[in-house]
Amino acid sequence: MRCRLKRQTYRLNKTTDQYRSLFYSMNLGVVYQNHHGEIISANPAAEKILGVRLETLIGRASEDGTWNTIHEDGTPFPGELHPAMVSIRTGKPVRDVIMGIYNPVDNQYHWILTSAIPEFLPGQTTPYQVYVTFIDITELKAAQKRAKDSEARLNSLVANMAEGVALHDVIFENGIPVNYRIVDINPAFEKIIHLEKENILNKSATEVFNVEKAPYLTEYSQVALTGKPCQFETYFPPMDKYFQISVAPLTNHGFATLFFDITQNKKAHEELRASEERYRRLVDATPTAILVIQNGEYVYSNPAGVTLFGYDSAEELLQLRLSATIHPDSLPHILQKLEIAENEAANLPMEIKLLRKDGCVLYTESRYVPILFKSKPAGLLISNDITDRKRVEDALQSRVLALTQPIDSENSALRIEDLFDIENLQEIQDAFASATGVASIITDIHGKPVTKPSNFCALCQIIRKTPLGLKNCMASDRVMGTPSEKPIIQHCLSGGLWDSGTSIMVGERHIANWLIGQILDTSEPQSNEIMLAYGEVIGADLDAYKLALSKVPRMPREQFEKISQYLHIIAKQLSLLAIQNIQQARHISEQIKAEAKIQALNATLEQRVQERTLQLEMANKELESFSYSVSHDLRAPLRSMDGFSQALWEDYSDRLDEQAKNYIQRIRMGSQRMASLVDDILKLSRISRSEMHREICDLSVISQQVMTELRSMDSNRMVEFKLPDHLEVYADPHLIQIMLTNLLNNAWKFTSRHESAHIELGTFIQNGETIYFIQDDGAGFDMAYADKIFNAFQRLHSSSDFEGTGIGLAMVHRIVHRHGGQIWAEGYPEKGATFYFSLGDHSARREQ
Amino acid sequence: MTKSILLVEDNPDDEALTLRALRKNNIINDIVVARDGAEALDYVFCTGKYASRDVNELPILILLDLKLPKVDGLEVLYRLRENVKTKVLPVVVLTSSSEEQDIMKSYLFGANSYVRKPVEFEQFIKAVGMLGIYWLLLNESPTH
Repeated sequence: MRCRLKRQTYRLNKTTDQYRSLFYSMNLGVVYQNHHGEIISANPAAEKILGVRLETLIGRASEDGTWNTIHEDGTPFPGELHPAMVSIRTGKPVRDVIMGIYNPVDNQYHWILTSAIPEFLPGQTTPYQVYVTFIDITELKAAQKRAKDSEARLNSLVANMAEGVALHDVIFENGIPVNYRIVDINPAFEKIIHLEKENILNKSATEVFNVEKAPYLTEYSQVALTGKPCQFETYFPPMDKYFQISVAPLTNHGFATLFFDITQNKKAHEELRASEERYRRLVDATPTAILVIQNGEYVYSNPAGVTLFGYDSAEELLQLRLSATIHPDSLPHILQKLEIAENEAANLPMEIKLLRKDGCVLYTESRYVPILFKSKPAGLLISNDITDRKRVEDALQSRVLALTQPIDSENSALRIEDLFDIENLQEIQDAFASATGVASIITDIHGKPVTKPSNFCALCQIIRKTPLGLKNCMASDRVMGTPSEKPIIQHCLSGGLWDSGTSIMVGERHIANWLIGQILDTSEPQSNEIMLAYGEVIGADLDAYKLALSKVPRMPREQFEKISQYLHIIAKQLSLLAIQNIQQARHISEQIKAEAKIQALNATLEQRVQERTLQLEMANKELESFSYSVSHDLRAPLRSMDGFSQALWEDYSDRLDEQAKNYIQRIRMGSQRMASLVDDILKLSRISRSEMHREICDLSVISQQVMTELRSMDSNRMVEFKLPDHLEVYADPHLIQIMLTNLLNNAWKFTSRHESAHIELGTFIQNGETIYFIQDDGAGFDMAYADKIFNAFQRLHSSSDFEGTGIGLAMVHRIVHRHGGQIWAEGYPEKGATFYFSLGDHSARREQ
Repeated sequence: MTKSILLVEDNPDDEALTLRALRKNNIINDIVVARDGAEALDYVFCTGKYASRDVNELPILILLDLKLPKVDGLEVLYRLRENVKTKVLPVVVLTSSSEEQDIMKSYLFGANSYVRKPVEFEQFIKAVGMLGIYWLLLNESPTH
């Protein structure tokens, strides 16, 4: 019994030990609270979770208000609702309440999942204590929140994606995929298929798209079965759109599809391709040569380029360097141009002398444009063949050159080719020969053919094949080309054939011969024999010769003479035309020369203006310093002359006789007059030197002031002054004042010998220009001197008649000229004088 | 003792004529003649050959020609005006020129008056007479 008890006690002790060990080592926080809610025991896990040491925990109650507890939503968790308290009150366990409790150690809320289980003493219905457990779920809760946030983000992403996303399940029949179900789609997918989510969820693809076979079932089921994602581009007929579809496997034979709409891309690409195709066709079909040059080599040529260079294929051309296809003459120039074009990214026009495959020279008008070719810098060379134009231009130039040389110059090589288009001559010649049935050719004055022979008979060709025959033929041709008033008709040196020739002249100068003939005169029976003999002499092939002779045209002599007359008339017309051509060419050439001269003149004009301005500035400076020196130095000696004469007079008058005194007076008069001349020169130069400031001046007002002053100096004069109310000009007021003072002073002065006088200021328009005038009826002047009147110090009256230095009108003249105007005078002795003047283009401008 | 008049004049003829004109107008002040700008400055500031002169004895009036050897008239004017003692000393420019630029510059440099020497001697006498009356009698100069 004792043994049993001992065993039981041992067992009990052992169990208690086990529980104690568990209590102290487990992660679950455990506290025991008595029926007042006061903690009576707690394990280390509880200490850790609550952040409170055991000795502090013991005795604290759930309701004592020291626990900082909150609900999940952050609101306070009152102590009386603590599971322990609820359990004590109700006697029932409370499980799994989530509560946030403030942990003072790490200064944050810990989330705990708390349960409370009441414990009863035997026979009692109210618990004597409560056993509370709690587990720290802070980490778990944070992880849950992260997962939840992540899911929300994913959902939001999917919902807002521009790409359509759909989740599907594969539907199997007998283990074979036959269809798939739409499990979920995002709004973008709704838009793509134009169907609402609620109408299609959990429906099969065939049903949704109303088709017999679910779209892309093969691809989709492959992904779902193998778990390998795939991606493909496809045209989706129901939508008339292109998609790139990405398929990703999900669990349980599900899969997700992601639809990228690539319709725009696809269309743009398609358009680009079509556009490229159009350009390629254009480039292939254009007659303009288009080539691409990279690093000095041809890397592309269109068919026209290949043709231009005379190659058989583009491949042949593309093996060449650019430099191999350009004529050495223009190579340096072209390379330089290309460099400029590349550096300045410019589109430069240029004329290129090219070499074809066969070595022929070719002229092109080209443009070179820098481009990118296969992502690397290159140049586009666009060329048009202008060889024909160039030849015509060159020919024209040489023609103009020839035509504009003096005709009578011995050196001048005036050629018929320069005066006429040979093809035109050929046409006339052919037509003439065919109409008249005679042979015809035009040669230069040495007998060398200029045109191709027309209607040449076979006989002559045979003759010309022999050296002697050819020599004779040319000699005959020369003779017939001798200038004469009438056509020359004669046997050629063969003796039997009749020829005729007439010369083409330019004035006195013989430039060509027009020859016809190679006929036999029907009235000369012996000519056949003569011809046969000639054949033998020149050593021709006689059989052919005879046959040809039988075919020579024959006509009566009179008919040939008439034909010759016609030829002569045409040739005379050609001569006339040649002269006209020359005259025309000279006229044009002179015009071109004149234009070039004008252009050259214009080019230097600017420079000349600058030079002239500089010269003027220098001249002005010189004048300035001259005037300054005159002003200071020229008057001092005069002052000495006058001063000491006066001193002599004053201090020695008792010792001077009348004659001496008279001489002294003369010295003084001379020096004073000289002084006033010096002053006048200075005044005159000041007018030229002063700066112009145009403003509106009223000639009437100024004139009236001048007249008032003059009247005040001599109130006895009877002078009527007539003037318009306001005569406004745009001019320099200071200079205008000087001008009017001088003109009116003159009028006043030269009317002083008349009892009464009339002076008028007036204006009129002449040739669109405003002319002003001041007229008087005084002493006037002889028109013979009208051109001298404005010269400085020029006087038309003696000093005894009218005093003055002769500077006034010179000043007026300068003032008018400085305004860009003109001045002239009209006068008759004792009939008065009129001074007319204009004040330049600006004079009438009042708006300024 | 009357204060002196300083005549700055390089031309001996003009000097003689000016002296004559002054005498004709019964001007009794001492006339000191400086024959170039440097001498004029020496006199006024008691330097050079005038080193022993009393600095406080300033002329009552300076008659100044513009074209002068060594130091020209405008520079003399400038030097006088730059010195506090001679800043307000009456200076009359008496010269041949009536060039606008000479007149303008003289006034800008602080001349009190600009008079052109007339060629006609009677006019010259009149001009000098009027200058004397104005500057020696009528005008009140600041006292030093």
